[in-house]
Parts: sequence; C-alpha cells; structure tokens
Amino acid sequence: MAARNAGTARPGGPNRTCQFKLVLLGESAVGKSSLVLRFVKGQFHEYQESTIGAAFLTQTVCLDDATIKFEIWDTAGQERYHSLAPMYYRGAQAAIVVYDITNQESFQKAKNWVKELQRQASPNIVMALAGNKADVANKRTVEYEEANAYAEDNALLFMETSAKTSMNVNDIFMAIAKKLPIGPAQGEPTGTVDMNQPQQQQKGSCCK
Amino acid sequence: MYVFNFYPIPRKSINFRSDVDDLGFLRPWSPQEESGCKKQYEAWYSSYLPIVVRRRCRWEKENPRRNSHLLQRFVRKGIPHTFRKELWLRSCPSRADGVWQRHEVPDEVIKQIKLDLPRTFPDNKFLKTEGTRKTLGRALFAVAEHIPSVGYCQGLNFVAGVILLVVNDESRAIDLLVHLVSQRQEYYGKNMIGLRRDMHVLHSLLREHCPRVVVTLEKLDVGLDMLVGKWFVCWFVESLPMETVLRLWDCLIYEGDEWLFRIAVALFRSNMIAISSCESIDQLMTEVQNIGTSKAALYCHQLILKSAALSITNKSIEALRADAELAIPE
Repeated sequence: MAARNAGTARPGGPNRTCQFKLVLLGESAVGKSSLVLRFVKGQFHEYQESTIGAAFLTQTVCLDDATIKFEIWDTAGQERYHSLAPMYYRGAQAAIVVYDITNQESFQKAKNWVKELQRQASPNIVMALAGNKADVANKRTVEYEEANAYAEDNALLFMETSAKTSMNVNDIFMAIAKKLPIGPAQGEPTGTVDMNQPQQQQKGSCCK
Repeated sequence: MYVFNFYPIPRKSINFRSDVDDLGFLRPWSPQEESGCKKQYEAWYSSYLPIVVRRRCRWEKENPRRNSHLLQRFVRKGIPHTFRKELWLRSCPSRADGVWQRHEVPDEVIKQIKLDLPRTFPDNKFLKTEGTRKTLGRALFAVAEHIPSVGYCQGLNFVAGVILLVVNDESRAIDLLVHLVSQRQEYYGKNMIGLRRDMHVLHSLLREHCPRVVVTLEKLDVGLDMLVGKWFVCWFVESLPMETVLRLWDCLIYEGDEWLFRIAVALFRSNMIAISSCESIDQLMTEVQNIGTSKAALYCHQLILKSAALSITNKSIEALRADAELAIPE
C-alpha cells in the first residue's frame, strides 16, 4: 500500500471518488439536522427549524486512498413521518441513528430504529449510534456505558457527540467513512488512517 | 432604493434598506441569509410594484366581492395586502359557532407542540418573541383539540406561523388554521396517507404536463415524496419566496387544493430542462432545491397566471386521487 501522507490531499494521486448514501434517523429534536449542519457547514443554531419530510446535503471527505462523497438524507423525526422513512434508508450504505443523552425515551426510539434497519435496510449498511447533546452531560439520563454496551452488542459504531461544541461530529462521519467499502482494487482500509478535516467543496482539490 | 413617487405608495411597499419584511421575515439578501440575491429581487420588484399598485386601485374601484366569478379573477391576480385578511377569512366559520367539537389533547401531543415552538421560523422578528410563540402554541393546541385525528403534525407549525402573521388576530387566525387543516385531515393524520396519495397524483400530472421530468425521476429511482413532500405539507411555505407563497395561498384558500398541483406542475415545467438533464440524485436534489430561488418562483404574478392556464381542476384532481388511493398500501 502506498505510503500515507498524514491527512493531506494529493492531487493526481491514486485516488478515487466514491459516493455513499447516508441517512440520519432518530426522534424529533435530538439534533439530527444540527449534526449535519455542523458537519457540512460548520454552523450551529440554538434553535434549528423542524425538518419536514427530509433535507438533502452532501459533503466530501478525503481518506488516504479515496475520496468519500456523502449524500446525506436528514429525515424528519416525528413518528408519523416514519411511514416515509423506508425510501430514505432504502439503498443507503450508512446510517446514523441519533438520540439525545438527556432523553431516555429518545434512546429507546433509537433502539427501535436500529432494529428496523437490521431487518429492512441493506445487510451491509454501516450503522453508527450518536448520543447527541453531550455538552449538557450534567442533565444526562442515558449513561455512556449503557449505550456503549448496546452498540457493542449490535456492532454499531458509537460516539457521544455535540453539534453545539462540534465534539465528535467530524469523527463520527470519518469513522463511518473508514468502514465503507471503497472498492476492490486496494482492499479494505485497515488500521489507523489519517484524514484531514472535512471542508466544503473539496472535490476539486483532491482526487480524480 | 426604489421610490415611485408617481404612484400612490402602497401599504406593502418593500423597503429595501430593511433586512426584515412586513411579516417579520429576514429578507433573502440579508447578511444572515446566504443567497446574496438582492439585485435579482430589486429587478423583480421594480416589475412587480406597478402590478401591486394597479391591483389595489382596481380592487378599490370595482369591489369584486359582489360577484363570485369576478372575485375569482381578482383573487388570482392577487389580493392587495390590505384586503388579504378579510378575503382569507371570508368563508371561514368561527369556533365560537360550535362548528368543531372539543376533544382532550394527549400530553404527548402537547409535548411535541412545545418542542417545535422555538423551532418555527426562529429568525422571524415576531415569532422570536415569547408572546407570539405562546400564541403559536395555542393555535396548534386548538388544531389538536378540534381535530383529534391530526393532533399535531410537524409542518403545521410553519403553516400556523404564516396564518398568525398575516391575520394578526389570534382568535380568527386560529379559526382559519383549524378550518384549513380540517379540509386536509388525511394529509396530517397518522400515516400521512393524503400526502402519499397526492404524490401519486402529482406523478400522473407530471407525466401529462412534463413527461421528461418523469423519465428522469424514474431513471434515478427517486420518489416525488423525497423531492417535494414539503411543498405539499407546508403549502410551499419555506420552499418559495414569501410573496409567492401569499399569492398562492390567495388562490388555495379561495379555490382549493388544485392550486398546490397547478403551482407544482408550473414550477417543474419552468425548470424542466435543468431537471431532466440531471444524471445523479445529487444533481437532481440540487436542481429541485434551486427551484425555490429560480426566476419562475420569484416572478409570482407570472407564475400564478401560467398556473391558472394549466388544465388542472379540483374535479380532475378528485378523479386522480380516487385512482391513487387504490395504488397506495394501507
């Protein structure tokens, strides 16, 4: 495997762009849109407008040997929009199920989403569990250990995140990117791969 | 800055120096917004203002209320802002007349409403205030109280917000909200059957009116729900410029749901080339999101006239809905 350049893009290098569909699921007001907004635009609004139906955004990140373009579907959280959810996770290669660490009910809801994805989504989907609002850990009702154990049992990536402080936001998307199949030629990326910070419109600067 | 001294100054003239419009919304070119489209808006408004002024004069001179056919024509050409509240409320029953029964509202519904109050137009000058947020809460509670099959559905918060801001009278605004939602209960009910049904209807209409768009959607395997579900849930609020939304609502309230379809089809037709040349979902979503800021969306008067010319009627919609109901599961 080629020597790794710590986190810098290499124009003209042996790089490919792979597109992946990623869906965010979880109860209303747990911070799905805020996580996406932080990841894609680096912004945070204390009061994020309720998402109706779903929002679509893209963000490109560079791994060492490939460029990953996420096509992100950020879905509405309210129960009745659930009937629309299958068309968003159908064919998705990745999913982030989000709950609010200060809201036990939202954790239960997240578990239901995980179950539904295990049953209905494509079998190779890379799933992550995000315990959001980690900045208000003093109001926590979902213990880290509890969620972590659940994630381990179900082979999910797991991080506590904060869209407000940006804690672990890029990291969770990067962790997903690393687990995505980036093509047969160079095999599975293994070990620790350095990645640069995601920025908008990187497409032109690196790869392909 | 526009000064049309030779016209009587209409109540709803745009003060381009202000970053906030009459209804308290940030203008699309304000520093907080991203689009940077002031020039485009100025060009549009310089062509629109004379229309607004002329319509206002015609309304005052001819009083179209005396004849329903005349009124329909006048409504389509735009209700002057001074008369908008009156016309929107024209055939709206009052809760005080006991038209709607009261039902108990589950705690869960109240919780959901409360969560969304600060998440409804958080940048709007009026809805930012505690008082107006509470009014919004009472309005959404009233829907839940009178229409238990709906309770609270996300999206209604934006609809309610616009009604409150335009009607500017809590009690009558709530009457209108309950009235309009009661006409579309199946949209906001448990499985949102109405929405799914109408997406089938829209698909049929697009097949007829802009088949190239349908070919692209089918090629890319994208459902209309994913693209434009929000248009129908929120009656285009947040998807189109505010003046366009108000003009569309004039027709929607006076004539009915056919107008949601007319506008949707007209927008797809106006952007057909860009949409039908998309080769990926990414491109398609970008183009569809661009519709909201397209020239067709901004030039509301022309959009309404174009939409009015489409052969889409409430009767044809009802027929398509009956067919669609057979096609959707549950």
